[in-house]
Amino acid sequence: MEMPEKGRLSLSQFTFTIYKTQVGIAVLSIAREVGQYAGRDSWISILIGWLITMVFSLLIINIMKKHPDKTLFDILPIYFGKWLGGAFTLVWAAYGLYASFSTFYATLFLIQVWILPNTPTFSLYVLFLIPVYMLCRHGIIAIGHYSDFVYLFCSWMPMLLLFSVHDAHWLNLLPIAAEGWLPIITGVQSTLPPFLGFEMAFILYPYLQEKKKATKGVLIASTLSMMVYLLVIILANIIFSDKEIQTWIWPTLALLKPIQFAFLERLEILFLSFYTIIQLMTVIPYLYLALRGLTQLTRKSAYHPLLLFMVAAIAVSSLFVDMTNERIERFLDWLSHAGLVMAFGFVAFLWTVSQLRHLIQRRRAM
Amino acid sequence: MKRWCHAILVCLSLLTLTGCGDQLYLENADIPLSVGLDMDDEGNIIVVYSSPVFHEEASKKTHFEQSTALSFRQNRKLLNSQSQGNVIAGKIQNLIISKQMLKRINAFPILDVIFRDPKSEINARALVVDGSLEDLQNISMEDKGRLGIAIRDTIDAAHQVSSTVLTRVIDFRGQMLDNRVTPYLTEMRIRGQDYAITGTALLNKDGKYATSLDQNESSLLLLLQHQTEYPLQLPFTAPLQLPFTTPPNMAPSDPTMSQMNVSLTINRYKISSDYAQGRFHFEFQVDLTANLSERTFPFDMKTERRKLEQVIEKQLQQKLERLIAKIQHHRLDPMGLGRVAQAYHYPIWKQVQNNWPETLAKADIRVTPHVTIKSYGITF
Repeated sequence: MEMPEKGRLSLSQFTFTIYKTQVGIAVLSIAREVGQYAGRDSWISILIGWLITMVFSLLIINIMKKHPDKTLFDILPIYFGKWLGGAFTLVWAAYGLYASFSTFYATLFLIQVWILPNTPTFSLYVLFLIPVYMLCRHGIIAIGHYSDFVYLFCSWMPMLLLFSVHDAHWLNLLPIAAEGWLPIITGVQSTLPPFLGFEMAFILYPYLQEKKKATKGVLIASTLSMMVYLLVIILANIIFSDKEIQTWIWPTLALLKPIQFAFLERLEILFLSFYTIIQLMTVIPYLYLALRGLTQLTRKSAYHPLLLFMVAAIAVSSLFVDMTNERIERFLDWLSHAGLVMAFGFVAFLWTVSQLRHLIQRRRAM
Repeated sequence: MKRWCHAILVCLSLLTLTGCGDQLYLENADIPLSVGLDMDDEGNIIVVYSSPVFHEEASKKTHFEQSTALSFRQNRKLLNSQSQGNVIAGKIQNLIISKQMLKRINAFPILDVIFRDPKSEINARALVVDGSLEDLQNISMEDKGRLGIAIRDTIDAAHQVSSTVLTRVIDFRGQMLDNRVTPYLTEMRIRGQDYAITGTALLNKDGKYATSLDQNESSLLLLLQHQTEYPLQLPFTAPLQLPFTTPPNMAPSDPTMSQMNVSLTINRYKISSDYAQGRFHFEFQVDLTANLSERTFPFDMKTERRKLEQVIEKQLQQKLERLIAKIQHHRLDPMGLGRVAQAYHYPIWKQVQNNWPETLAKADIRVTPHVTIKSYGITF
């Protein structure tokens, strides 16, 4: 089933959509989360995490290559039949919904803590849901265009972090792997969730103009994300001591806070305001993914009502659910686990199935 | 129809905006620029602050407030009830901690609210004051402007001529949490109606006051820390062995006739380290470029320059080693040698990390400065 989409995605839109879905809320806390296992060797963990992500992105492209005009939700029934395929579709839709909801909650919580403590939650939710609604309504092409915009508009943000470098202690990075490789390997597990978002290739692939470049696209996307994470981790490690990183909930914002220009103070507010633009680029694709799955199960025309329902559900939920530090932590924790299962576990599983199927088909043909 | 829908949606969302709901008039805000912390005899925390007054009718430009409670935040509540407006902590320029308090307790836990609240200004300069904080009110501001700004500017200026370290509140936090370094803060003295930066206060690992460095020692500490933001200004005394001629009618031993001042910049800075026979060995190898800024004795720079360089090298070495001995004596490590120990001697570091200042006190620390006089201004 083809959605009523006009036009196709360019390579840059394909790449940036994946890249911006990956770089989400995790960039603010990644230094602490990886650091609690790997300490000053976090940067090695992130490199290993990056390699793993690239392998799994290639697996996705490998699966999609066999069905160039189909999305994940078209493939699932082919592989698993109507019922099991439908069940998997539902699981994926639930995952997408959970990812977009929890990222949205976390973003808004962050904004409330740092910038707008006095603004009522409900009105904030409504305001931020307007762009979510508008972009999701226009489907994947609009999201692709938005990702181009986000990339251009926010590419200065990692550079800003470099201003914090002037009282750095490079010695903090030594000695390398002093405690052996076990902590580094343990640290890898928390470097994988920040790379979540590459599974968006499942949806984006059929819309890509030049399918041959898909491999290039996913690799560039993960590499761009890796570079951002690497920068944040190295900066946090050379500026803060091991112990201090663990005392900040969002070490990246703590890096920004001391930066001051003669004409500008509290840079982290500016940063966070722009950061919401990036954040929405995580919320929107996941919501879109979920809605695509749900419409697959019902019918095409259900897309718009479902979108309205979801947006309304988020807004209304703000009236009933009070966000606290721990709740957000727990939400994001579950999301990491779910992501590991869906984007890494399921992709490996699906790839094995598709390889087997391919093999059997070829046998039969002979 | 569609257009109407959009218009209504936009209007509805605009209605939810708070707009000027939580506006704040500057006249009604009490914005402390300088905050002081002290402790009374019962162990309560005294908070003193000075904030600018924007009311047109008020004749005084600065407003002082003081309260006593068990914590910083409780004090803020008290202060709120005393002051005319809402106390806004986001613009604090300096945080003054009294030396008496630091001698008794570790002040770091008290500062928690500053780091917990994202609105607070963590770039505020942290300093130690010798003297009672109540004297802050007596400082005559007629020729200075706002107290908080004036103190901040004085600290920054003193740091530029290397008379003191520059530790922001956020840096102080890092120093307290890092067991590879001990904290160092700017030290100020209030005397009568005036204040002056006297150098650097060193705290031990428990966050208590340990000792003070004067302005020259502070310059030397900056050298050991490799703080090369600004050139280091240091005075030297020419020894009598130097082939200089004294002006007639002056005894060569006259101290004012044998002074020189140089400003030093670090060219190469290297710490080599070793662990042998149960103790650490550190050697600072520093190549410095000197610019002669003052010399009160006649001297032939063209032919004898190297001799002058040697004098500077020797005195510098003596002064640095005296400073290091003082630091070791007080069981401190403001140089952050713990970072070197951790980076290059990790297995041993792991054993001694909880007892680092003690270990460093037993270490053998040497300095070998190498000085080149690059220029001596526009006169010989």
